[in-house]
Amino acid sequence: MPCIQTLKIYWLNFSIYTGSVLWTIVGIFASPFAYVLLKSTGKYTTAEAVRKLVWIYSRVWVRMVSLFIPIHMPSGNIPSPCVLVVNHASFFDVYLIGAQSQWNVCLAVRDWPFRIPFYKPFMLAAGYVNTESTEPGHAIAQSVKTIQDGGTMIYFPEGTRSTTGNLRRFYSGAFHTALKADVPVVPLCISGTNKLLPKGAKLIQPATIKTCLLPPVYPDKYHRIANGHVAMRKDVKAIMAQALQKMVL
Amino acid sequence: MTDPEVIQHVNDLLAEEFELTFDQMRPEALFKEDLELDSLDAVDMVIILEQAFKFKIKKNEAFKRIRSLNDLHKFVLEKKKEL
Repeated sequence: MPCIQTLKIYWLNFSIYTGSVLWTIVGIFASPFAYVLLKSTGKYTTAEAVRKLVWIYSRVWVRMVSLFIPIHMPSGNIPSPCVLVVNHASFFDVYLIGAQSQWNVCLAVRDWPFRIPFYKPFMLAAGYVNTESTEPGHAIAQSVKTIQDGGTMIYFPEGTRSTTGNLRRFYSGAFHTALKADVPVVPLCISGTNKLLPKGAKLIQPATIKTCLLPPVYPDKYHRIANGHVAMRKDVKAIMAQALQKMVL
Repeated sequence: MTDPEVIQHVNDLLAEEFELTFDQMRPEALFKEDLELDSLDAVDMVIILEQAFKFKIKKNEAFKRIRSLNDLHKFVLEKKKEL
């Protein structure tokens, strides 16, 4: 029996890694043509066209991976515009952008992904926000501008992947952005990716991925209190922790 | 606001923002090593200090050299005097 289990894991890793590499190669070569096609419709700005391509890439990746592991897609619609906050336990969480229905999503990320050669041109073209390398306050201003232009900001408020499965301390960027742009924060909870591929691991393990969209947290009441961003951050973290606990049961 | 009140206000702001306890907030505490704050926290710190004290920190070289809580207290007191 252990032998069959080992074979299953090898098959899972071969399938997902090979599929991901092949789909990425296809994506890189097809993206210039798809970009021109999208731009020719006259409906998209450069950043929007690239965001749509990234979302399609992620969506196909999610569908492909769901052939090998169960992925429960989130139900419900996301109010647009908003700030989407997502818990972070695995490298694969970013790909799950494609599991939700909004395509015009802009990621706020740390500096290191901007240094990955394959990712960098797409991230710059999509107008992704570098939360580390710019002057303090600039990332918030860029995020607010993205929302004013009709985009949805995505933040991983823990800033890095959790190694315990529990939520880490939240940074405030997402909440400053929501209050400044006067839009709701929508929590997206992901469970299972910490078992699929935790931080530092190379070998994918069998897991069930569940995603859950929680009700929007509107900014109104937080405008009326001092340091409203801290109160909003605490409330959002509390409801996410509660939802994640239920999801793993 | 007197200097001790300013220091207390800075500590209150940091405790709330970064979920720190007052036991941790010794003047000699280093942000990175003792309080486990990083570059993203520095961004949040700039925002809350600018909002609370109504001065500008952006592009300030002295702020980039801050390593400890005591350094930050001195920095805020200096900036308050410049206002």
